[in-house]
Amino acid sequence: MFRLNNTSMFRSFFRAPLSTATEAIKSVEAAAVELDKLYKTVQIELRGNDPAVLTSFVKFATTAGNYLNVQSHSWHLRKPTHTRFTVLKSVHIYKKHRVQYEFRTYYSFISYKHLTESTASTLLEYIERNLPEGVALKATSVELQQLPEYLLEQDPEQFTDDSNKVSHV
Amino acid sequence: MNIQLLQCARMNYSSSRISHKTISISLIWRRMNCTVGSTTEEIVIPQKIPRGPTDILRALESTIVKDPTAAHYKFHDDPYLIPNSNLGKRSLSMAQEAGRKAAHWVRKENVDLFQHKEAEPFINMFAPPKVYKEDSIVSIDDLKECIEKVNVDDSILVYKLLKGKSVEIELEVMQSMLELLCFYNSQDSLPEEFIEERWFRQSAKGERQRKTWKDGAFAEEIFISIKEPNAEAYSAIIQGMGKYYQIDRATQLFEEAKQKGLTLNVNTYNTLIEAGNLLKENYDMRWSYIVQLLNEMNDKKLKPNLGTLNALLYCLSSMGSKVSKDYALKSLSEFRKFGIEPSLASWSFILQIYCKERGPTSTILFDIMNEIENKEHMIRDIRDVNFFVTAMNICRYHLNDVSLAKRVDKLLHYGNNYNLIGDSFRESLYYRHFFILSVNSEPIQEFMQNVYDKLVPHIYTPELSVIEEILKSIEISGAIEFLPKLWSDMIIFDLCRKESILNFVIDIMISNEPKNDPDLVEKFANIGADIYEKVMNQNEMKTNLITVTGDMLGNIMVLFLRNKSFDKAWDLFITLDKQQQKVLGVPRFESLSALIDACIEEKVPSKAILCLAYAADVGYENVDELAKELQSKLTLDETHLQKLSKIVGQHVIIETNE
Amino acid sequence: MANPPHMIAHRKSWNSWNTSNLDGGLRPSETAIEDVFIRKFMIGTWHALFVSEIIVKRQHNIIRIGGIIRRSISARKMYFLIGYTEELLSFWLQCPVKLELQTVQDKRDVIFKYI
Repeated sequence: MFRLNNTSMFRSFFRAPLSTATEAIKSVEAAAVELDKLYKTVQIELRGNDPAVLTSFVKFATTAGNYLNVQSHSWHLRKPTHTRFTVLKSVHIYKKHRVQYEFRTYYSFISYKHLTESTASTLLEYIERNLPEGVALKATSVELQQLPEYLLEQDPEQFTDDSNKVSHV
Repeated sequence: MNIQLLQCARMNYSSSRISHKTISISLIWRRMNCTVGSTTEEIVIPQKIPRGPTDILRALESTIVKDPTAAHYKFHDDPYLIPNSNLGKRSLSMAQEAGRKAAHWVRKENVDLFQHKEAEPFINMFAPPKVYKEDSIVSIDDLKECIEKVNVDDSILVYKLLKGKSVEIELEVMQSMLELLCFYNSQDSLPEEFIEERWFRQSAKGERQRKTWKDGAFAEEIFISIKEPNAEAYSAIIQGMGKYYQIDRATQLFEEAKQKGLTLNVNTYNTLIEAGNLLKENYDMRWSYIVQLLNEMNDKKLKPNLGTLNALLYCLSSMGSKVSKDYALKSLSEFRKFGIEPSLASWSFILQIYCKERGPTSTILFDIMNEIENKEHMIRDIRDVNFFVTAMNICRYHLNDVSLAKRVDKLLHYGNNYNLIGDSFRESLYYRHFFILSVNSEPIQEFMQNVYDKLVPHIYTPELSVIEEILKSIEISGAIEFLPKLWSDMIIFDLCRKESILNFVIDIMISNEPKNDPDLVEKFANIGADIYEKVMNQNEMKTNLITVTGDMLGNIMVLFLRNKSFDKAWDLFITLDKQQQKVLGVPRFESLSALIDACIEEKVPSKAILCLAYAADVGYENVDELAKELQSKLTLDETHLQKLSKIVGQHVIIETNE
Repeated sequence: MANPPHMIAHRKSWNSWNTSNLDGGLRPSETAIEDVFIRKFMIGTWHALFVSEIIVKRQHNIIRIGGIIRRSISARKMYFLIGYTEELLSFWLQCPVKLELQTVQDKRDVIFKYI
């Protein structure tokens, strides 16, 4: 299960791709030409104060992805996060009479599947430029990389055992 | 970080949530596969497409086509705030610029209030401005910064402060300071932010070559304070002087530098070539001077650049001797050999050389267009902006060719070439030529559809002369359905002040009666009413009054009558009759007879008789026939007959009575 | 009230739009103060011209200010004010400021409900 790191979050920033190991991908040419990175998923978390704005933006982002032949899947959390303040209603005395204010943060997610770095950067930039006011975006991506040479050269049996050990999530 | 995620050993794109059993099975599968043979998939990773920071914006921009129905984007998008006339466009954009200047002034006045720097990411344009006063403590870095930011006044102040503290300034800094001062003639030019003022500054009106160099200004002071001026210093000061037309001193310094044996740079020689234009009297001496300079450049092994080519062509264009055409072409081919492609400025000079007004027609523009078509051009010389205006000018006056003009227009709209139109004066000149050429060459329907509707009013607002040409074309072709639209545009652009054009419009309406179109008749009558109101309600105090002629009013009357608005026509007639001192001249006979005919139709013989009386007063001769007609068509009673007899004479009536 | 609090996000929306009040939003107090400054500045500079609330939207770096104004001054004067406001506010707030105003002939046209 992905656990989002609670590092400082800005309006929209691109988190460092999480690299994971794989054996099945072969590397092609040498470093003379820079190769694209492959992203398994690019997940976008949207936060906003107004659920209607979020749903329309999700529609926009998924349609933009469709035009670039990127499949996407979107969902939203049913309940928002409430931040509440209960303050005194009057300037002086009257402790029994209060006013309550709350901020609501609605969450929405979009997940694009199987992109390359060029597509991902283009799509993300286009979406970010069209972010409506009052909506915050956080992008997380999972990269696919080839398993490094030194791991392949090791005994594959040992490798399987290792993966069994580190099984807790 | 996130070691728990590394555990997910990926395998053929499987997700991280796959259980371990699956993983091990896949592993085994893979190993078995390895032993078997070559059925593993090969994944080919494509190359990364490098993208710059603004590439996506440019891609989005390329999808937008210029919308002719929308005003320029600098105007606020609101119907009240969109300008219609040329004057409106100019005043509104300059007003906005004035607001910006006011904000800059407020900031300068209250510098201490604007010192905060809290933006993240920080933008340098909004940074608090650095102010240097007489007592501020400065260092050489401040001077360098001022020079970099191209602040002439500030840099002079800082320099003086440094000198006051006897700080030794190294030669490089002095050189860059000298270059800055020479380029700007020791004074601050208009800051680059004030784009509207730059756009509207009419610099093309006859570039008078007055000497504007400030003698003894700070630039020369710096030059003097450099003890051992080297080639660079001499180059800088000579170029500065040449730019601001201080030719005598420039050549003097040039001789000095030559005596000292210094090799000046190419741009200095370019400046001197252009200066030679003013220096020598006749063409041969100029050319020999230029050749001398070129030989010197050759001796000192200086490579000529685009500036040299343009300087040569500029001199040749103002020489106008018989051999200048020859020399021009030769220079072009020579420079091609050096690998220097001519820029748009060179082409405009060539056009000027070849297509002289009184000379033979030259089709060189066709060849030039073949060269430069369908290419995106960058500005490489400040005189490149003259090209499009010159080309359109030649298309109109010299060649009179619409298809070539369209090619030029297409080139202008190719890619980013519109940036090369220069300022607002050149743009309006360009479109003026284009419009008049199109109107005179194309059938009026095509002109209105393709050119007029697209460009007016937002891209170009036509001037009076252009509207006159369009009206002429309408008159010739009789395409009067365009007249109402043209008239409403004329009102919007505020072009209805000249008497001649009003008369022209009325004449067209009179001579072309719309046969099948009652709508058009009504519109014509409305136009007539507009003109009538305008003309009668002029402010007496203003200059350039439109003289109200009887002819004009008579014509308007006819328009009303055609539209069957008898009352209005009658009112007009009353005005004619009563206010004779205001009206110059009398209406034509046809108008009066038309009025009488209408009176007969309306069965108001008294009015008809009034009209007849007027006609007789004026002295028209065919009043008798009119009277007879009146009698025959309407029954007149005694009073009428009496009046009639007074007007035309007894014999007419007696005849009919018999 | 015309639209009581339970109508927020149904029929009633906000006058300033930004992300400072979300979970993990940055500088809420400075943003609010800036909005107060912007509103006071606009009301003062465009004297007796605004007939609607002043809407402040923040997108990335840009602040967009919207509102409806009356046509009581000429277009030239309005352009002067537009240039002046945009420039001065961008100097003060250190970011690009864009004005998006709409004019209306009669201020009574803006009223949609009498309470």
